[in-house]
Amino acid sequence: MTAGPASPTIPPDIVDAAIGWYVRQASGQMGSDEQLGLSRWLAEHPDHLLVWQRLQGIGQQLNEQRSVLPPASTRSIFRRLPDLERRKAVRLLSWLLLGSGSLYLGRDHLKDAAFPADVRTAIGERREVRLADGTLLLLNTDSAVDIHFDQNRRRIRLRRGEIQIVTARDAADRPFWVETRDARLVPIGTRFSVHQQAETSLLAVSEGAVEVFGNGQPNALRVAAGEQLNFDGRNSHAEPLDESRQAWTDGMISAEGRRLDDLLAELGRYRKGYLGCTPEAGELRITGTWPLRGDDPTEAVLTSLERRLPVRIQRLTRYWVKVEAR
Amino acid sequence: MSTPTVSNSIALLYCEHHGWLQGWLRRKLNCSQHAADLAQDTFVRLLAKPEPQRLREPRAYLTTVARGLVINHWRRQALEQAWLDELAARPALVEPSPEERRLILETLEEIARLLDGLPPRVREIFLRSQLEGQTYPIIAEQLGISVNVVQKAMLRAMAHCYKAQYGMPA
Repeated sequence: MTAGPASPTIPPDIVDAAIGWYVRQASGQMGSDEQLGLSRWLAEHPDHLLVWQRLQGIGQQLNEQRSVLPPASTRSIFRRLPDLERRKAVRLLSWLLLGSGSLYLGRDHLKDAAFPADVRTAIGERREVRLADGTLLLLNTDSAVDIHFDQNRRRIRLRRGEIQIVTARDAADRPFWVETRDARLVPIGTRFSVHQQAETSLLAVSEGAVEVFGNGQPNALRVAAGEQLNFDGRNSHAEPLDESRQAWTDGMISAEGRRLDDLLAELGRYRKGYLGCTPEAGELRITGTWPLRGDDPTEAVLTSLERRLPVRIQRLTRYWVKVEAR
Repeated sequence: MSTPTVSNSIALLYCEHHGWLQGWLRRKLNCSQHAADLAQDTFVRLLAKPEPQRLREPRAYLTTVARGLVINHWRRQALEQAWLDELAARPALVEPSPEERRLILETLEEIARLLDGLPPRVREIFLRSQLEGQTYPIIAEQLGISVNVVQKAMLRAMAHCYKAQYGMPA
């Protein structure tokens, strides 16, 4: 998409106003009255919405880099960079994802200011959404959530898949929780992720703590930073946090002395069809980190496995792949 | 699409000035391989222009286009070096394949184009907010500045990015 004649020119005062809103919203300090003001402003005129979506698109464009490099690395690269030569009117030739993608985000954004919203990802897709209160919600592949924010509470329902949440302090002090199939999770100033698997759920807490109210359980369990909890409706089992399982939040897949069958199970979530292995191959162990980026990132991982382990990849079709011991 | 006359005039331009332009680029870059590539790119750019004017000073025009490409080239090199330094500083990052390397550099270049012309401090604040989701109070605390300064930098950065992307009405 280019900034050519096809993109309508918006009056500068509207652009300025939208930038003001955007910058307020990114502050992490926006109050509920301001949120309401933003929703009203967006509803006032189609141009407001259009310029808002463009700004969201710019943010989204930046976020694309998350899948190739950790954000902290990108920032440090730009710090190493000498001041770039200034040029007049840089024309950008192509901007990926500024079309429908940003529109979608813009709509989500609008909705979660006042109404329930659905956000979902396709297989192999990851998406980041900043909620109206400043909370960051990251959806892994094949995931879906409902967002219910109103004047009294902030509630997120995990319908499918895996999410990471970095909570923000709410100016209106509304309670925040995440509902899953197996429990209600109440974060206490935190960064955590939860993965709803076929039988159980896995809660991983990187910062702060999370209180877990299991369905039908009288007492809450507290999971602190550096711990993870495997649980279903009845039972739970705590263990030290496995950081490598959180690599997806940086757009990576990672393993440390991990069993191959276990790694393939995770990898299979990022592609369509069947991905399995023979029992002998499944017992092999591997250490490594691979980026989840591009059209078919899982193929690159499989190629790498074939190079590094005594295995052969058997492909019946694109959607049926089995890893065998050599 | 370019009309036959347009491509003819570019063909003429190419015949008359290609050798000269390549020499000009070679002096700038100190590398004949890159000079040949960029000279080629310069003419490709001209083909993509919708309505080439009748050129009174074709060489001045060619060098304007070529200069932009040279800046891109230098920026790419600077980015690559900064990224290699970062890679060396963080052994935990994976050694990328050539394909990943290309992706990483392309992504970095896109960000660099967007931020081109912003002072380093504003760039830093903007990246902390937009890439890492840091709140203004956190950014302010870590950089030892006031929240108000952070907010002003964000306004400037967003206006800059919007302008780079969509242009600004006069």
